[in-house]
Amino acid sequence: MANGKTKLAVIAGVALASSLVAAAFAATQGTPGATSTGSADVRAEKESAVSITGLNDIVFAASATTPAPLADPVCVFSNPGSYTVNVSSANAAGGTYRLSSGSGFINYSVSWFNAGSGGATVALTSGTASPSITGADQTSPTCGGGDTARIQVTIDPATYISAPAATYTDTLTIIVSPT
Amino acid sequence: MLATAMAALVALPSAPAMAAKEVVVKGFGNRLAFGRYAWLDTAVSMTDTFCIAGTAPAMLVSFDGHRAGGGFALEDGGGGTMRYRVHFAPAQGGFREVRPGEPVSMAPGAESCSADNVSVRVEIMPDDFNGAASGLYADTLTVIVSTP
Amino acid sequence: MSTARVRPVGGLAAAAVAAAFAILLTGSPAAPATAEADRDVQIRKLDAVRISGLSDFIFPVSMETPAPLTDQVCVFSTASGRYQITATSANASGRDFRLAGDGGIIVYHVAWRGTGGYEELDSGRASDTMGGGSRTSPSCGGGTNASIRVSLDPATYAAALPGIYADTLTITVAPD
Repeated sequence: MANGKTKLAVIAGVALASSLVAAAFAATQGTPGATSTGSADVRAEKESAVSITGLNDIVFAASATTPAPLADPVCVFSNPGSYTVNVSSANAAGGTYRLSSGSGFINYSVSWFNAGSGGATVALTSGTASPSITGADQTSPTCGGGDTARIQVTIDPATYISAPAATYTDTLTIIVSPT
Repeated sequence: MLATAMAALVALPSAPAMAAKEVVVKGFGNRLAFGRYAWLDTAVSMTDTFCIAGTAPAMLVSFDGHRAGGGFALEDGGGGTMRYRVHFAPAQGGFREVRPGEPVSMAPGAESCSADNVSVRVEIMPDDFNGAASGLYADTLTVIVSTP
Repeated sequence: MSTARVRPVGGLAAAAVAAAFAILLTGSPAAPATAEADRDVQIRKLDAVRISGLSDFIFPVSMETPAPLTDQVCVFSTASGRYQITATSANASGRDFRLAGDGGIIVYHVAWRGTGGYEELDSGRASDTMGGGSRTSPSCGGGTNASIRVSLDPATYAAALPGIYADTLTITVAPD
């Protein structure tokens, strides 16, 4: 019977997308006359910005049987309003998320919800960006103190049961990009 | 003005026409109005034709007006001046710039004025115009034709 | 020597009379003859102005409202250096200067400084009289004598979606 504690340390990454406005010399100068007219372009580029905050470690209780899924509500700010998320596992095997004890592995899955509670779910693959997700806070990088998404981790029963008792850990790196 | 011109005609002497020296100037009375400008990037000019005729084989043509700096000048009535240039093309020959009072010799080629045969061009250069104060500038340009 | 003079006094009537009468003088057979005719030469010079040295206002890419930008320009006015400014936004709404983009609009403000402090301008409306323009040099001798300040409205900037916003600001100077 496997008996272990599983701990997930989560590191959040923030991707900022920006592009430089090409400086074009479009200004025109006036010529002498009874009136004189010149013109200048005025340009501003509002940056696309995202951030993810409110992340916590996901720590499963020691259990001989497969623990129930755990979720962590987070705040995703994206001023375009939508975003993609790329959650990668430090111990991934291909696109599979894995916890490692150093000598053995337990597989797990990661799902993303576009709300702090409820919402639509997207099943993620390690190292692969999700489809565009809506529901981010467009104006407040702190989501006004609330949450706009949550990440859920589900332990794979098969690999959990067969794994020797030990402590299994992984680090999830989360990259959010505006869309 | 009408009375003056009529008087000149009435005063014609009765000497035989073939023996007298005659000078005819016709068509020089039109105003050269350049209009309104704030700034000149290039010179502006106005050209007009008129007629000089007479029985003498040669005539002297000169122009006069308000003078400044050895040239012609428009005045604004308040002491301001603006130089301008006068170019004259005699019956035979091209344009040449003339100074106030400078005589140009020409053969009229005709005893009467049936058509214009000379040209005058008045030109204002950008430097002369742009440096002047705003206002209305005017001058009276006189053509003087004489026989030697 | 005898002389006749026709002196137009201006107007079409005078010109017509002068053109209609040939000046014909006949002296004695031995005496020289002289004729004169006059014409008026006239030009009206208006006050001249010029604005130059304008540059584009390119705000840095930013999520937050960027700081105002200023530009130093040259204004030439033969009207003792006095002039009026009319700034017009191509995307104006009423008197508001506006940047337009796919994600909406961003209002901005334009202020002009001649000799005193900055004066806020309305799009399409002539300013009060400004002073300090160059009276003699259309290029201000290579220097500048006025400033334009463009600032973005924080509220509309915050509400705008990410993206590029642009406008053409046309500035007309007239003598005052």
